[in-house]
Amino acid sequence: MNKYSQLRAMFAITKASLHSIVRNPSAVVFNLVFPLIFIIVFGFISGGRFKIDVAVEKGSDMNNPVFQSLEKISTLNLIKEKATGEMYSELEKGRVDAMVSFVRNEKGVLVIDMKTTKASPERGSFFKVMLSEIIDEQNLSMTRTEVPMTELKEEVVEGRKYKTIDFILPGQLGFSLLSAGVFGTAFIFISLRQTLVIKRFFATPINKAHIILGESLSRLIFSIFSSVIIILIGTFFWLHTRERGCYFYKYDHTFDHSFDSISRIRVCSVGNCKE
Amino acid sequence: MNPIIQVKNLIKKYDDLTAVDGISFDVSKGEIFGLLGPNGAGKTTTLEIMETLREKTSGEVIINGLSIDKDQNAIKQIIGVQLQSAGFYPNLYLYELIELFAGLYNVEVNPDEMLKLVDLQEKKKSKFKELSGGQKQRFSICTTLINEPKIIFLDEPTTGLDPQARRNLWELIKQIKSKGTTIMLTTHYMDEAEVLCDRVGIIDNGKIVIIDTPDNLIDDLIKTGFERPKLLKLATLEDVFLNMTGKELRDN
Repeated sequence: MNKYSQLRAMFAITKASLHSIVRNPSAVVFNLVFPLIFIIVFGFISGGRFKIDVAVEKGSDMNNPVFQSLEKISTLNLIKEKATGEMYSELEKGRVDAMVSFVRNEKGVLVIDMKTTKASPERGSFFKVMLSEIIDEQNLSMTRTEVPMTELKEEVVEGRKYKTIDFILPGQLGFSLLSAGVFGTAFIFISLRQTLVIKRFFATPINKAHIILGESLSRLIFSIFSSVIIILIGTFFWLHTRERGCYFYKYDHTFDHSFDSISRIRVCSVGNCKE
Repeated sequence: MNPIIQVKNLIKKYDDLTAVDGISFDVSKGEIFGLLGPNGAGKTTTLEIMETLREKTSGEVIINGLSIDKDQNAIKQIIGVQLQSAGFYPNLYLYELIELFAGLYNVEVNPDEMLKLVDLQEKKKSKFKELSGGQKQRFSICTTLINEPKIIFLDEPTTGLDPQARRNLWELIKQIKSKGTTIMLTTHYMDEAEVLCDRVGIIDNGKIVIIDTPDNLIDDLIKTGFERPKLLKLATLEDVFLNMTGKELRDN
């Protein structure tokens, strides 16, 4: 009799297991559809931009250069329609980050009354800085100085934008490892044991370690395969739409970004040998 | 007679329950040996110890000259095992399951030919769970034949089958025997043992009560003056059933 090869038996299990996984709809859903949905959902979440809501009191004199400058700042969302009392309560709740009124006094000086709230201190102080900068500029221009004492030169370094997915990534990573370990291996063996499949295997000459190895190998292969598909969808589909400049244009960066992150998750989980 | 299986004083204890209590018997090469007994008598435990699926408490089992203590792997290569309620890998077609077992046994087989042996060649693209009870048992037996075993163990192969399917399975078992394979089976149907087995051992409460050929056992009982309370008619209800519904196998 030829020498019995555990490896050959192991590959037989791997092959059978792969066939079984591919025909199992839940495996396909968990490995392909779920990650895709997660990526898309988190990708959209990260699309939100930083906005400061500023309420402008009714009856304010809007015909002044400060207000006009404020209107040009895209980060600011100026709310003009609401009644003063209502605005005040919104301010207390932090739904509005600041409140301003513009009144010219009898000397013709523009008095800007600004209220911020402890419910939203960061945005309030952001607004304060913006407002004082505009006021300083206005005041400075009145002095008609030809050469300023100090000059600020600004340069923004091109970098990787911070996105919500970066914040979510560690959690997803952990969950991915957890599900790989629990669903991918433990549950499979529990179910194979309950359905007596393992018992039938034990009646053949393969040893226990090679049964586990064979199962793990098939999951590793499937995991790599589904990662490749997800990365390919991310790379080709979203890039493609960007080239055409279609409807998805405004989100495309988000998608690229999340696919980039997710591919790193997948690679990590693959590195840990199953999913 | 050349015993291919030797069981000597086999004991299996679970905590305070003794499932198998000092069983000894030999099985000769090429015969069908039946272990008969009521439910819970220890048939399956005995069989599973011989199949190396269960540890024994004490005693000795030698299969084809190999001891189950030392040569488990070698034994597994020369036996075929049909479990009382086996499961097969989910979502696979029958021919893929055959390929899987061929790999597990390290042999090359043609799935079509294997399935033809048990008359399932038309079901090669079906899944195990889609088969009828009789087909499931036939497939289960088919997987025991893949490694061309010297001995096959069948644990209650016909339990739960209709009379037609049982007869069909008997034919299959006889066919396997005719190729020189030793078969050890358990059953609690006496008619089955009478038709199939060359020798039977009756087991009760973990002990072998008697071992002999079915004919001898019946003759011995008659010699003691035993008489059936009701004289048997020339036909049984099963004969009526088969007469009314036909002997052909109802597979689909």
